[in-house]
Amino acid sequence: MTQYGHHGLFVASLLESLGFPIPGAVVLLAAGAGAALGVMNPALVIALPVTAMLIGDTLLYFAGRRTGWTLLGFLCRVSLNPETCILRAARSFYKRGHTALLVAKFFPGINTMAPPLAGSMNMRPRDFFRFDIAGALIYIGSYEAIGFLFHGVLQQIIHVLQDFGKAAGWVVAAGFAAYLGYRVWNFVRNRKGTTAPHVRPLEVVERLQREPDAALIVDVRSHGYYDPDAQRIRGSVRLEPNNLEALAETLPRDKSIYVYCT
Amino acid sequence: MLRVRGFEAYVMLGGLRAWQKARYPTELIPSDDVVLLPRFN
Repeated sequence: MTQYGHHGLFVASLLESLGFPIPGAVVLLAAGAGAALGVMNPALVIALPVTAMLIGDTLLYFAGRRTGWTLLGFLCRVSLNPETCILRAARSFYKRGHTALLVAKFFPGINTMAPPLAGSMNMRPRDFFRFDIAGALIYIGSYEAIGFLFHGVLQQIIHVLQDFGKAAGWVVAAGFAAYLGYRVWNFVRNRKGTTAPHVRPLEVVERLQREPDAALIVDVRSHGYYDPDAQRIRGSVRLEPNNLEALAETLPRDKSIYVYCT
Repeated sequence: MLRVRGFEAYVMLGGLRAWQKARYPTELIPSDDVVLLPRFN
């Protein structure tokens, strides 16, 4: 903090709110201690991170409002089951309502998902800003108060947080490795058969004109059926890709199947 | 997976975006298929 000062505090808070893996809690603890030791301005130590988080959250909120469920769909892509991820995240956020914004910042990952979710779910801007500012003040105030009050033992607190961070990092790394392993296993398993050939839309249209009953277009988008004005290829049928194995039995065996996604 | 199961399956290049770009016909998704996620307002 001595090196980067107020600018560092602002940038770190902005990046954290945008989802970058920044140790925001440690920065806020240090800022609180800096205020206690007189090397940082106490008013700026509160105002700067609140402003930075509000800027980051506002960007994500309006991105959510503009893109509807697309942004949540993108964030859920890493999930093993994107469909369930979207449904659960939306329902859970709706159930907890505005109060979720008050505590979201304490939970890595959720802090990044909450503002776009609020936007996707049409939360009124006035409500969003009210609860988001309150949440930012609670989060920033809590860590800075600890830093301010316990600046003498800050080193130990930071060590504990760093140890916790390392442990959490290993857990995340193990989870990511397991996820990668699952994806590779899935890829290898599905490659055992023949890879499906690719065709251009024109070829599909020509085939349908020649033999309208010999082909079926199948929509396998993992998400995209959440907006009432969503479009699909005329005459296509929906097949939820996460249940492909079970649903495949409903497909006709005497027709060519043309699958498409977004 | 469909090929493994014996279906004559193909992947359409470019997906829905390429289809729309080529101005081939689309339709609104039937309301029964739309999953309405909760909204605050």
